[in-house]
Amino acid sequence: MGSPILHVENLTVSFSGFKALNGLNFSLQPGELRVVIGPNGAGKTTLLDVITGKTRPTAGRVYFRGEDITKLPEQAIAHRGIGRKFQTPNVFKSLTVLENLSLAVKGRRTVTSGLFRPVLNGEAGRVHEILDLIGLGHKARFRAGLLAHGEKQWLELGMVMAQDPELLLIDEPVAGMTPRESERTGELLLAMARKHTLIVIEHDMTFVRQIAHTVTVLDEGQLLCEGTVEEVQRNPKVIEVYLGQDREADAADRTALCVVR
Amino acid sequence: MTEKHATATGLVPPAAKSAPPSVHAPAPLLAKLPTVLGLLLFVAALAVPVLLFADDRYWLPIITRSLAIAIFALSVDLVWGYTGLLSLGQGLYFGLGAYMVAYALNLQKAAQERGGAPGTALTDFMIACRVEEVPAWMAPLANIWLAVALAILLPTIVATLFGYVAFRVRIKGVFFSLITQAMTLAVFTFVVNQQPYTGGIVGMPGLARLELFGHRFNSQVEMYWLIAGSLVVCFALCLGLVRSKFGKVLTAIRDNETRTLALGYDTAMYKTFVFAAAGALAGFAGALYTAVQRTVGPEEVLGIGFSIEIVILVAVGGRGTLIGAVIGTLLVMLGKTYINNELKQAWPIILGGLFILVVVFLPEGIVGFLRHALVRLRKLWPRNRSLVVSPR
Repeated sequence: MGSPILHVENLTVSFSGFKALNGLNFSLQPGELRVVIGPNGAGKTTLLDVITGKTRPTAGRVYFRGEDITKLPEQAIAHRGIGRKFQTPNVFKSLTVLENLSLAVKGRRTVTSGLFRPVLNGEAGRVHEILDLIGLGHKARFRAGLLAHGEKQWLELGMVMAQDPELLLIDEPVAGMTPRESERTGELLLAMARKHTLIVIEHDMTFVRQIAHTVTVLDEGQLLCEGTVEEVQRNPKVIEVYLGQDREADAADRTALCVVR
Repeated sequence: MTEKHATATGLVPPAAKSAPPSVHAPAPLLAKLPTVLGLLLFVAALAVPVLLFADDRYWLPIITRSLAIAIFALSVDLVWGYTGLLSLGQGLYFGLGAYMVAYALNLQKAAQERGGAPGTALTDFMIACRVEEVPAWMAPLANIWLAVALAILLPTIVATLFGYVAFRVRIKGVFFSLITQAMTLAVFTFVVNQQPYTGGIVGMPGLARLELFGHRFNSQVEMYWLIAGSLVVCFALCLGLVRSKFGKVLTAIRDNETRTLALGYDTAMYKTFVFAAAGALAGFAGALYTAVQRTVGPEEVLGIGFSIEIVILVAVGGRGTLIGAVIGTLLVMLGKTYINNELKQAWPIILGGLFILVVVFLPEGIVGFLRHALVRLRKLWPRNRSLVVSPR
């Protein structure tokens, strides 16, 4: 194997004593689509927070393409080519779909580069390509606040795509979607995976099976196991974690539990 | 790029059923038509007061003054309406601009009354405070062009410094509002206490008439055109700013700053820039205001009440719409004059009540209400139904 695009070493994050991540080691090859699962509180979202610079780790290092990015500010990390799609739709609701995508398109970000320049400044081709891909071409001039939940999620994915990041972090892309919407999202992610490296956090095991090549299971801030969907589902440790009696079985976990059985 | 992407598009795109080619923007000239027509209408509307009140020595000055305040409201709209930064101290920048021009007109008046070159004759407040000669820093301000330049430059510098520090350390929300207010209060107190140099609480009443290029603005109609012309220029500049990519980033910051940051925009720089631009605009508005009023006082321009009043004007007109700031200012300012004539004590109560009413019933202000009404009206028109449903 070549050098990993992302390498996480001994990562620990503690929030006033509680260790959200506890000495986590994790790496990712370029072009991979990696699904991260784990019970609530396993540290999945915290992992993404640390990679994007939103949360500072208590200990450990994050390397992106061999460069230590642990201490870089958020926008510098974004410039390096790490994009993130948040769990809840986070689009700019007063801007149109087109403007949302235009702001996301990779390009200059300085104040002077945007002064008295049109919002679509030579990026029209790329923006329309993405509009077609996410299927929102007919709503390009709608305010994003008026979109349906699923459409907002696609717009989000489109915005992350527009940034053309090398590494894409996606937090629960199908939360709250209908099965049909969820399937379309899966197709979209698979299409994206050909160009980008993806980390996807998801609870919905039907969806995980649709898209996953390799699955990483986190538990209590540590790596539990890694492998294909089948391997992971057969792993006794995973079964124990998901069936553990002292664990609060919330709705999302129950979904996973049924699949494991 | 296209080639790489073709592989991705090869896969069945989700919901790409029948996307009409509506995404392609209309021809540039045609797209600009509504803007051009709107601006022409705006200019035409500005001619109306002159036609109606040309000989009115009471209402025309009031309308002229309101137009100067409308420029100030534009600056508040940039900062609060578009970027979501509620500054309760924009009066500071307005006041700096107002005082710069007031120095010029005051020194000119002193020269007219007491003789000597402008900048050497003592002004009324200096004589009252037994100041022996015009301070060296103030004398050059007798030149109106220098005064106007400083009226724009000084607020820009102060706003840049304050904005840079405040936004770098991520001061937000109510803390930002309170600090802006506290700063204005500090400057207010300073100006009141420095009577030998500022005229203290009285300020500088009875200033000279504005004189540019050797032309003295003697008639109210001339003054009106000067202010109205400035408003049109400022409005067009603001429109260009908010419609540009820069303006869209400002709106993005208002909607969701974390996300804007995550997209790689240095939001602190954007906020500093817009705050500085608004400072310049406020300073310019203050300069014009002084020229119209021919008097300046700390309570009038540096008082907290004034800064808050402007925010209410913008809210009434519709925040985040430039024309809303102008409409709100004109309506409320004319209403204020009318009510002050009838029942002076009631004004603060009415203003507060108006603010509550707008926040509760018209959160998008008059302009927002009109827009919604227009959409509803179109829906009632069955022939045009498709116009509403389909994207423009």
